Amino acid sequence: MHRQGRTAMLLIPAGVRRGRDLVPLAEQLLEEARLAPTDLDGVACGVGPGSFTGIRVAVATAATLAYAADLPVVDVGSLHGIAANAASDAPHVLVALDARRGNVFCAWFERTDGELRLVGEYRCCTTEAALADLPADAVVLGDARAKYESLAAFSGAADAPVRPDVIAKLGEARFARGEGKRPEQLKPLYLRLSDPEERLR
Amino acid sequence: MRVLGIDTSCDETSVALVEDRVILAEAVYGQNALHRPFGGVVPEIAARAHAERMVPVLDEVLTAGGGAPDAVAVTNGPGLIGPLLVGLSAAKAFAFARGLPLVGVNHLQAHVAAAYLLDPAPAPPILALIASGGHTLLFEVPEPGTYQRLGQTIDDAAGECFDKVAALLGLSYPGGPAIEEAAKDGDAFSFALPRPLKNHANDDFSFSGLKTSVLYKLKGQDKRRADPDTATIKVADMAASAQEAIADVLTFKAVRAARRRGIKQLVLGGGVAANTRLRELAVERAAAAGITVFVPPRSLCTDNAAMIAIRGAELLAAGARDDLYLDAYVGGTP
Repeated sequence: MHRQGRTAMLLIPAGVRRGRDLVPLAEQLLEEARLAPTDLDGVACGVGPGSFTGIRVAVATAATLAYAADLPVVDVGSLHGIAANAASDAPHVLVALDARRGNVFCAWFERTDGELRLVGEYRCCTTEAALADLPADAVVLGDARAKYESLAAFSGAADAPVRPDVIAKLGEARFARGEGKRPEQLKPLYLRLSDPEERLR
Repeated sequence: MRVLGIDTSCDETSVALVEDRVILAEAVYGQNALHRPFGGVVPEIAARAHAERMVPVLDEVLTAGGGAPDAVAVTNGPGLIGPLLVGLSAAKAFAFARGLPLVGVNHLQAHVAAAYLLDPAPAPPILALIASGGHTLLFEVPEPGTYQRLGQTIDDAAGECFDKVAALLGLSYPGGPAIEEAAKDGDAFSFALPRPLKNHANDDFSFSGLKTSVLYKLKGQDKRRADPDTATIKVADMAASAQEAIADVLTFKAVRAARRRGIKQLVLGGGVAANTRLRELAVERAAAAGITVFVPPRSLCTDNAAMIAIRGAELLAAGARDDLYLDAYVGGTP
């Protein structure tokens, strides 16, 4: 949850380990802040990429919570929430999650004016493609490090969670820019077809 | 009490609002078209569709003028885990946001409770046959709120057998409606197909041998007979014979189970209960035993959220409540 002035946000990060506990966690968070769901101004949801089941639990929870409390939503890329784990002076950050089938979900961030900014877009590609043109001083974050030596050769960490405070902060900025959506517009960001669909192609 | 029911246990995104055994509003997003290319339900595709359709379907029900829900009932099992988690997450979020009581419902018990939405409705003691693509079982409901499983399939579900036979005959998915249509022009006794476990004393079912028997008749014992030979077999006759075999075993054992226990009301439920021949045979056999059959309309036989709401209302009236840590489960009856 992010509070600034009269703004309060409930954040629901993607890829929670146990989908079962998401709503109880939100309840606990709001209780501690002495707020009711209807006191919120909006819901920011990390929509992926990540565990397919995890991002669906996040999206179904965030969208229905927002719908039931009559709130707008914004979707935030989960890789942004992972990139924020990098040291504040890291100039280049590559986030890479294992997407199986020899691929990674990845995003490249560059620091300008002290802020990490996305370069290009989120991709699902091979590690070779993810590493192409990556500067030697880049930091690589995400669980794909544990699987691919080429990624582990860079400094960084495999265990880099989606930072919920960052999802909320980025969400607030998007609400401020008037990018709030209706709850039914919130969609998971899979970046990949399901395995049966890939086989059918 | 107005109960909001939510079911995403398989391939239907279903929401309903029910009060005092009356459906105030309901909406279903069916996914048959999405799964047809695969010849069966693909869990990941089903879960993706549920996540996209959940709020629109919910909105359709809540804007239909039925009023605001007083409680939320949701299927938390048995079913496909990915699909279940979407509905369960939505139900928890809704209950939390509106400060409403939440109750988890067993999908199979709800298929029995669907009959309470009929007018006239049955009242316990009830014997129920629930047959669908994922389940085939007999329940005894000796008193309101008590669901005792008497027997179940030891291999394939009846609806699964319909799907597999349909695939062998080159018919489309889902197999039940396709076989029923094809069987209209067929002779149900042209092939002597087995009736597995029909004369066993227990209340269990078995359908995998029936499918295998159809396969052998089509392709020979070595399953290698050339395609041109199968052209001599009339699809309509095989469809009718398979349908007859499935309907025969299900209705025989359901009526026998009721008769043995002195139960005078038989409830049919699950997608397979939408089959016309099954209904006919059940009514015929039950009548001979002085038993009344309650057959919900097709929309209440297939997966639906109204049955979740009605079973939820029964649980809530008995004081049941679940907290927000409610978990989903894949199989079994808790």
